[in-house]
Amino acid sequence: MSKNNIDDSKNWFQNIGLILAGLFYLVACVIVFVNNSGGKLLAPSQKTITFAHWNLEDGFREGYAEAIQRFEDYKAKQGQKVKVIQTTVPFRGYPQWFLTQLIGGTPADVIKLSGSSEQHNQYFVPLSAYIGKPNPFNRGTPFESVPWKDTFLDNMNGGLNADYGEYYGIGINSATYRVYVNLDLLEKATGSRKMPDTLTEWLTVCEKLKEYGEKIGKPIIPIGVRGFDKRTLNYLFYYYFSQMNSDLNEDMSGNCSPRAENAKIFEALAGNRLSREKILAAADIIKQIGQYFCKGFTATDQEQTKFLFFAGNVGFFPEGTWNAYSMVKNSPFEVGIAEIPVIGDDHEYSKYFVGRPTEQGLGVGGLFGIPKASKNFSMALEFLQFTTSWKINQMIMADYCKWLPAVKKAEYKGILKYCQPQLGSGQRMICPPFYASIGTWRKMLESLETIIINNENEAGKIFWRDFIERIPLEIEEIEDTITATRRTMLSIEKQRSAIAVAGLVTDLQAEAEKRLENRYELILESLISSYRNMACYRETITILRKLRKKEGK
Amino acid sequence: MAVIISSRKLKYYWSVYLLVAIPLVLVLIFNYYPIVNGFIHIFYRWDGDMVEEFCGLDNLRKVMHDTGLWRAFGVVSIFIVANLFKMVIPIMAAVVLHHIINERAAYAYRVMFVVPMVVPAMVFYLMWKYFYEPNAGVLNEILRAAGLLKSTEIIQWLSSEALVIPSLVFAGFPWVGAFGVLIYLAGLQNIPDEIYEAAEIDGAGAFRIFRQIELPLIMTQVRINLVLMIIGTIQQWQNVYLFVGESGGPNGIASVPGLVVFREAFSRGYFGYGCAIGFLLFLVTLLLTFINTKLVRTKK
Amino acid sequence: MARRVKNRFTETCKHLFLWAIYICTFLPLYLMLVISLKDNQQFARNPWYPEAPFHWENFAVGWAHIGDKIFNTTFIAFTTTILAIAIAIIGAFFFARYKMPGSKFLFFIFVVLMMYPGVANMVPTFKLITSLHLYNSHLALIITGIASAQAFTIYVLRSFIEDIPQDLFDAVEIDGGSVMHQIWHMVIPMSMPIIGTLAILRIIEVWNNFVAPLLYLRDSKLQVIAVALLHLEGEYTKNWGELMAGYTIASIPLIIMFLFCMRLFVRGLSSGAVKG
Repeated sequence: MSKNNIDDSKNWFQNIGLILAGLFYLVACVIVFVNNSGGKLLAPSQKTITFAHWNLEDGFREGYAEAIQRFEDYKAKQGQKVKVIQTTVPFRGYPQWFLTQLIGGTPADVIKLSGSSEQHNQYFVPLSAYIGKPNPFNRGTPFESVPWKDTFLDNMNGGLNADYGEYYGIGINSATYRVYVNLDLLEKATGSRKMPDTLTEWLTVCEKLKEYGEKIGKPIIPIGVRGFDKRTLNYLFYYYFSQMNSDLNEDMSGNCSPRAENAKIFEALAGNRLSREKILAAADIIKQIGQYFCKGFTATDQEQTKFLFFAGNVGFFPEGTWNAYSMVKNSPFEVGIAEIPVIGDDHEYSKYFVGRPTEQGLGVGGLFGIPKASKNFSMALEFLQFTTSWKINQMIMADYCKWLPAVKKAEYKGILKYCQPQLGSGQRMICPPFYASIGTWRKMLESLETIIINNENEAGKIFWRDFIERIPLEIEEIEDTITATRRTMLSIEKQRSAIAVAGLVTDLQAEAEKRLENRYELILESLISSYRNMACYRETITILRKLRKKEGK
Repeated sequence: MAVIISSRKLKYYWSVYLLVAIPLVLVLIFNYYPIVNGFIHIFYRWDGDMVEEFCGLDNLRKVMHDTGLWRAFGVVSIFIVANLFKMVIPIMAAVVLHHIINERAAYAYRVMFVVPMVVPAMVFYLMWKYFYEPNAGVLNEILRAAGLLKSTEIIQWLSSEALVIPSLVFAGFPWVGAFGVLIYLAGLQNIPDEIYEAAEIDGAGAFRIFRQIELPLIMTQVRINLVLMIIGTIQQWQNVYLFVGESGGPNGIASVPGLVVFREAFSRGYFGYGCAIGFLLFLVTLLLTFINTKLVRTKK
Repeated sequence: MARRVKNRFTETCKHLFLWAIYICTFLPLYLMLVISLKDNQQFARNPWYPEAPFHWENFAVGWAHIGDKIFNTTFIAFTTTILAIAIAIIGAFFFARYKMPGSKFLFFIFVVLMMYPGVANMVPTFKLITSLHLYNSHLALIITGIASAQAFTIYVLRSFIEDIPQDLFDAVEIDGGSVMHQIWHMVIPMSMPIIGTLAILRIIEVWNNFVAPLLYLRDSKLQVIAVALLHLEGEYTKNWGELMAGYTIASIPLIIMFLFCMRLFVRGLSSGAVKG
């Protein structure tokens, strides 16, 4: 009998459960219905635009939230109800999210660009028509009558899609590379808080840090790196290579893309106008620096190194200045921000030293574009103009996330004083010649890693040997690039001839005709530069073949 | 028995077909149409939207040359073999649970086995991902506390090429999350008591009972689970995605074919290539299921 | 099931074995709960034991991220399950009760699908959904969920309905019951256990699925718990306490639901297992 009672009460329990589940389901239905209609039930006259990106760094979202608030207030004063929704997706999942919403047909209105130039051309509104006019939100500033594109540090060169000769994105920030230093640790290990100026000084300090670590029995890492994606290694090699070879910039005509122009360097090399030692010295320097990386650095990613830095176990961390705010904020000790040491006078390779590469003319990145499928183009464009106006861009960047603003004549206060672009004694950075194809570049970085781990004596020689062995594959990769460039050129050529015909047959107003002409010129320029690139690539292939033969393989 | 309707009486009973119309239409549109569409697009260079260019066997040629893809199949085979071993513990747990004398304890144990099934699998994966964290993670801390790891060393479970695949295989220990345990248990509970008594009279030890009575009787469930496991493991890429992201770990070494499809199609935009790999996966699944049924039949 | 206690020792071994399994299985959940009440400093010191003060505000932050996603997920899971089973029952009824010309072929269409790898369909299905303008809507998830559930559900339900004795059907037909009447008043009550199990299994599967929402949903307002957890985990500076609080909140609804339907589930599994 008692068992039946238990059964009954259990059934009653279950029934209550089912009823509750049913109620919960109904509530969920209502909420979802309201959400799905996009809030149109509640605020029918409101225009909503979506602003999407992957920057989860400290201060970025907050800065834009403030900018959004001001934009909405400004619009309200004009009598328009506008709502801007900021959406963030983590960096890891971003490329896929980006592509699926573009294909899906309902993309966000202002979206951070990702993916290939072909995708930009296919899905995004060409902005060249709009960047030639002044930014209306710059009224009352020194840039009131300056065309929008010229208010940026690089005149929007960084936003130019070279393959298609068109601007698809507006950049919002700039960045340089610095070394973050744990000053307290430095003092404990060397007795002084002075940051090293030259390479030799740097290496000496690193040695002292290593000894200090062994003395106190704690794992002290002299130089922390971002090893997993090879970014730190990449930049250090680039930087030291440029310190010794930036004079080669004079040989470059600047007519082709940097990667394509590598042919000139090889040409000089093959013609014996340039010593191989000068090119490979960088590999040796990297090896010397690499001795102070942590063990297993090839697997360490940015998060882990930052974690160790905040815990006080890392002396130096070379990273971009987009991390400056979070590095300073999360460290319980004083953090110094210094430029990466130059070779200086007291190193074995001082004879090759040409000068510290200059940071003037730095590029503007973080491009945001407006998809063609957006239903609120003018509002989205206004939002972009608003957030890149002289005042607001500085507010977001300098006040909130402590990044370098994209606009000219910005005020660099606080941390930004250490991050701002410096005038160096050398020329601009130059692309190492092993960079002609991405696959080869990865392989060369891996070779550098192996050289570091094995502490090879003849770093330069081994590096060169790996390069010569890689040449056949590199030639294949460059040929693939040529094929892809040719395909792109064909599609641009169609656009060019369409515009040419349109210009002949239709009767346009003056302004539209001017726009068409501008477009035509941009396309023509991009066709010509693509053609030049292909010529450069072919030259590179010929030279690479000669090199391989010369080395007797 | 069911009502048998021959083709002569069809004109009176044709409305019965309407019953199956709804599921059929749904399945045709949302399952079969994509299958056929996917097959056709193997021969196209397709970016998911406007570019649809017939390119013949290019995608198939790319599949042949893609060493990453073949390595991915290798990784999946490792996972299948590992999952075979992973099936042992649930069987053992079910048998042990079946032999628990205390009834109330047995009931409590049964309930406790259902909890891991109910907690979202994602939470378990993410918790194991946390375990593998090099700095803050629990696994490294345990090793450090046990003295196996110096305080200066960190083991990169998920970012070093050698360790990432074993880490993926080991995650989720002891692998009783699926509802395998309860199904085996239910099968075991159907064994009549007389057989046990007969075995005891014969003086059979626990092990012999297991081998000769219990194992054959739950064999049907094991076989079904085996087939499901193989089909499931070949396609499964969600666990790799959760642990190491779409790149598939250091140098993409832990990629599985499903992950390659996802990456090539939805991140890089090579939809045609994705379809080609998908079709290849289907062929492999077909082959394995065929082999499996043949093997199992001969065993009988 | 009365068996003599053979050996204390063996008995204890069995209990120990099961406990070992439980500890390993529940360890992640225990840690999750403990860490969810800590802030980063406490966590860095010691993640194993609870430590006062307890940071309940982690749950507030976790709720802000995950909370409203619970409603989305509930809506999708329940709607998919109810519709899928309703449609599948009708289909299974057809296959169980009528042997029409072409039945075998139609059934084959469903069974073959159980074997087709879903991965291969990811790409074309996505394209289909976008062509139907269902991108960024819950409808996409619901319809694809229903379609993918049909094969297995019809297969299982058919064998169940076949077992219902013919006389019961005859009785209802004599009373003048139409097909719908038969299904509603007879088939469903009799198959309650298996329907319950199928429903719960389907709900759990939809709840756990993160691929389809990842691909088909753009807005975070419409997003599902699984994807929200994924995004939470991808933040730059991880606040472990808040993260774990988020995980806990994500687990609670299903646990509550399970507590209520426990018997239904376990009973259904047993009867279903015998059939399988």
